[in-house]
Amino acid sequence: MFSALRLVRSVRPETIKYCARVFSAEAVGSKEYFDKLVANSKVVVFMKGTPDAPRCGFSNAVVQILRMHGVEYDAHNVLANEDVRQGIKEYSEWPTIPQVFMSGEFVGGCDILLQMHQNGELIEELQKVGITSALLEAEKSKGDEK
Amino acid sequence: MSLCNRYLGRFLLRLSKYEVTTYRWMSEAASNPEEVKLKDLLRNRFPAATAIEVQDISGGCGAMYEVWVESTDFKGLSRVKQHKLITQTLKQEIKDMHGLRITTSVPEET
Repeated sequence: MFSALRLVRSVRPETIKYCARVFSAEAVGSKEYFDKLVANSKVVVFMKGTPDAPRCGFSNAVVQILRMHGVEYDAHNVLANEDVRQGIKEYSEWPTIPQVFMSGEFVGGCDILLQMHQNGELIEELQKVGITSALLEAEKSKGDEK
Repeated sequence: MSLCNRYLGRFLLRLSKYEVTTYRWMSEAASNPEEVKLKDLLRNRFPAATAIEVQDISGGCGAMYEVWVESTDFKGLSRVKQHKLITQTLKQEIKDMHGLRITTSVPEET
């Protein structure tokens, strides 16, 4: 299992930007606050815990999927701030965490991301925001070798 | 721990192979009162549904559920919108939950 993980990681070492920065003007948890957060990166995730230490199985699943695709993303730990935790649910009108945003658009939670991963839609969606999935690259290079 | 890793490994392996698994649990009649309640709420909201399944997957505490609804109501809607129809229906109940898995589908036309 570890070797498999290492393989995935070696495809493209991930760099995850932690977004601990607090945006000045807007009140934490307001619509404007989240507007800025989700626009800050192509992919933004609100989760329980951090990518290195997820605190919930659903959040962990999202981290693992994005890792497989070698995606860089902003991660926000909702457990660190109650205003963010409640605010994001109202912002996206979605009652559960994790939540994934691409180009400022709400994409879905764990179930939807997993489905998108399984049916290949995720690769297309990433492409739309200008990210080439590591899985796609891996497949291409395999094809070149043949 | 190693057992846990093995399961996780298998899980990841399955994901990485893009294996599309249509997820269906053994359909058994909803048994506990909360499952029945959720199912009734969904049935009232989606009278046209061809399948509604609710299962308590919390392992005892009753704070995690799995829901599957198959209905023509979802036709033409994005998956986010499909799921929102469910979460809006169960809005009050979700407040007391830790987790909820939702699967929506549109019945195949015959």
